[in-house]
Amino acid sequence: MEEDSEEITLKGNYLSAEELVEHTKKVKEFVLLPRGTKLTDPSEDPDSQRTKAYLENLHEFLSLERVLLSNKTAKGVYEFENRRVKVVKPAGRGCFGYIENKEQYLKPHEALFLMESGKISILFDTVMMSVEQAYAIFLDEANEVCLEEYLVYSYLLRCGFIVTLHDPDSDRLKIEKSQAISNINKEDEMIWHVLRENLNQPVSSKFVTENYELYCKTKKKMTDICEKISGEYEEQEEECSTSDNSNKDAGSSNKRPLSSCEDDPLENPCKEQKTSKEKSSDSNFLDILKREPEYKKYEEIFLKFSFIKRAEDLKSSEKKLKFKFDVFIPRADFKKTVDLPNYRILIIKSTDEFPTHAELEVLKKQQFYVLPIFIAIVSESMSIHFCSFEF
Amino acid sequence: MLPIKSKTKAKNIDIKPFPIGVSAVGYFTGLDVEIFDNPSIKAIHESGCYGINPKPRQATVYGQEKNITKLTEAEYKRHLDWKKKFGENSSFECDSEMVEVNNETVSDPFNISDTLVLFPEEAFFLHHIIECLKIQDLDNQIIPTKELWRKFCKLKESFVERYVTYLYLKSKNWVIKSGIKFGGHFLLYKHGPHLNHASFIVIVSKEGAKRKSSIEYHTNERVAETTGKNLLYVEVYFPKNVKPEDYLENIDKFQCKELFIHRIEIEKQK
Repeated sequence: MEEDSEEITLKGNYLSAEELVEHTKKVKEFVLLPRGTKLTDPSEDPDSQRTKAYLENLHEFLSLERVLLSNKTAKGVYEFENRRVKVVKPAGRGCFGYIENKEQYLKPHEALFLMESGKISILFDTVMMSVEQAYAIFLDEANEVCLEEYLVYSYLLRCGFIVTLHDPDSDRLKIEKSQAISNINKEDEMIWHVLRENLNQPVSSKFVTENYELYCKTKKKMTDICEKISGEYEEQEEECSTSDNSNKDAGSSNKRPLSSCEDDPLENPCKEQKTSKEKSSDSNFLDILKREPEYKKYEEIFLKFSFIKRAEDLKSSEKKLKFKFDVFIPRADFKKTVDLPNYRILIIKSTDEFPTHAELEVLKKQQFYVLPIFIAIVSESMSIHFCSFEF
Repeated sequence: MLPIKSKTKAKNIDIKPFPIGVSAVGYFTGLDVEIFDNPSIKAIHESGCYGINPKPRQATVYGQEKNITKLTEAEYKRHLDWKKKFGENSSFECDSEMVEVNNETVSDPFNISDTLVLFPEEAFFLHHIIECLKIQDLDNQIIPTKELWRKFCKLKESFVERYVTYLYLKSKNWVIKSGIKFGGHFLLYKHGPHLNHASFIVIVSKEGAKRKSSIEYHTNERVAETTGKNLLYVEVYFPKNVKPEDYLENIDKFQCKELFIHRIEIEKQK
C-alpha cells in the first residue's frame, strides 16, 4: 500500500488530512468556562484569579486557528465602479444580495458581513481582500452604509434578525401589488384597516387620508356596535347582582342585539375591538386617570383648566430624518417573511443631538405603513444602545 | 408601559384632587410660597397632596388617625430651653400639642408652628385656577395675579413652560410633585406619594430650546428604568405673535406634546 501512495503537496496555507482531523477534534473538545454571576465587590476575588482564568481560557479559544473548507465558502469579485460584489461561486442560501441579469450581487456591507463571518472570499483586482482592507473599501463615504451603520447592521444580524436597507418605495409597491391581486373593495378594506389599527398592527396612513369619510363612518359604526354589546353585558351583570326579581327581565336583557349583529359581518370584530380599545387607551397612558371616580366627581373643575391642547401635526423645518434599515423577524424556516418589516431602524451617533418631537413625528408619518421604530444610538466606543418612543 | 405601583391599598379612600371651599393665605418668600396656618395646611396638603411639609412627623395619611408624636428626652429638653430663650410670645410657636416622652404623654413645651412649602407652579395653580390661595409678600401686602406671574417668571426662567406642563398634566388628574429626586422637573403620582410610587419622571422643554444630546436622553432613561418609572418628555409650544407679557392672558393658546422614551433590549424583540 505504501508503495502505491503518492504524496500530494498543496499550495498555499492548507492543512494536511491529519492536521485537519486533529484541529477539528481540538475545536470540538474545547470547553469555554462558564461565566457565572457577575462580581460586584473586588474583595470577592482579591487576586483576580477568576478573571485571569476566564481571560486565559478566552485567549486560548481565540488563538485557535480558523480553518475553512475551501469548497464551502462562496467567492466574489468586487466591482469598484458599481460598488458591488459579484458572486462568482455561490455557497448556501441566505437573505443577502440581489439578482440582476441572472447574476447574483452583494452590496458592500453585506459582503463585509459575510467576509467577517468567513462565508465568502472576495477578489479585488485578482488579489484576495483581507477583512481590514474590506472595512476600508466597503465602508468609505461613497458607499450607502458607514461604519456606525454597519455596526448596527452586523449586530442585528448576529441577533438573528433579517436586515435590509430601508427603501421608502417598497411598502407602496407591496400595497399596490396586494391590492391588484386581492381586488378588495374599499369598505371591506377599511374594516380591516380599523381592526388592524386597534390591534396596533401596521396600517397605511395614506389610505385613511384618501378615504377619510369612510374611515370615520366605519369607525363610528364599529364603536356603536361595540358599545351596544358591552352595554348589554353590563346590564346583564348589574341585573344578576341586584336582586332575584331581575330574573323576570333577564330574559329580555339576555337577548343580544341579533338584528344588528347577526346580519353584520362586524359582530366578531367588535369583540376584538373591545379588548383593543383598552389596549389603545393604554398607549395614551397619561389619560388613564380620567377613568378614576374622583375625576368624574370633579370633572367640572378639571374641564375648567383643560384648555392646554395636545400639539398635533407638528412640522419640522430642520433636516429630515431617514430610516436606515428594515428589520424582519425570521420565520421558523429562516426565510424572510414576505410581509412588511417588523421594525424600522433609525441610527444616530451619541455625539449627535437627539431628534426633536417634531422631527420624530415627521419621521413616523413619512411611513406608508406605520410600524414600530427603534432608534439605535452608536457611541464613540462603538457600543450600541436601542430605544423606542411613543407619542 | 409600566403599571402603577401602589404602596398601600387605596380602596375606600375618598380622594379629593382640589381643596375646595378653602381660603388660605400664603407668603411669597422670594423662593417659594409658604403657608403657616395649620387648618389651611391640613386642607391644602390633604386635598391633592399639594406642597411639601418639612415637618414629616405631622404628615397625615388619609384614613389613618394621627398618632401622638414621640420625642426623645434630648428633644424634650431642647424644647424646654427654647421656651426659656424665646419666651411665650414667640412667632415660631403655635398651640401646644400632646407629645410622648419616655412613654408618658405630656404637653409639648415649645410646639414649633407647621409650614407648608409650595413650589411656584402649584402655588400659582391654587391661586389662579382653584382660587383658594391668596399670596402675600412678607410685608403682608396681597400680590395681584399679574404681579405674581411676573415675579415667578423672574424667579425661574422656565416658569412659563413648566406651568403650562403643570396645567396640562394636572387636567389629566395626576398628582404632581417636584422631580429633583430623580433628575427631572416633575414626578407624576396616581394618588400621591403616600399611596403610590411615582409613575413618571417628567422633563419639560421648550420648542426651539437648545437640543439635548443623545447621552442626556440615555442618562435620564436609565435613571427612570432603574427606579421603575417611565420617562416622559413634554415639549411646550408657545403661541405665535404673542408678547411675553401677555402669556398669562393667552395661556389657552399654548400647546404640549408628550414623548415616552424607553430602552429596548433588541435581542428579546423576536
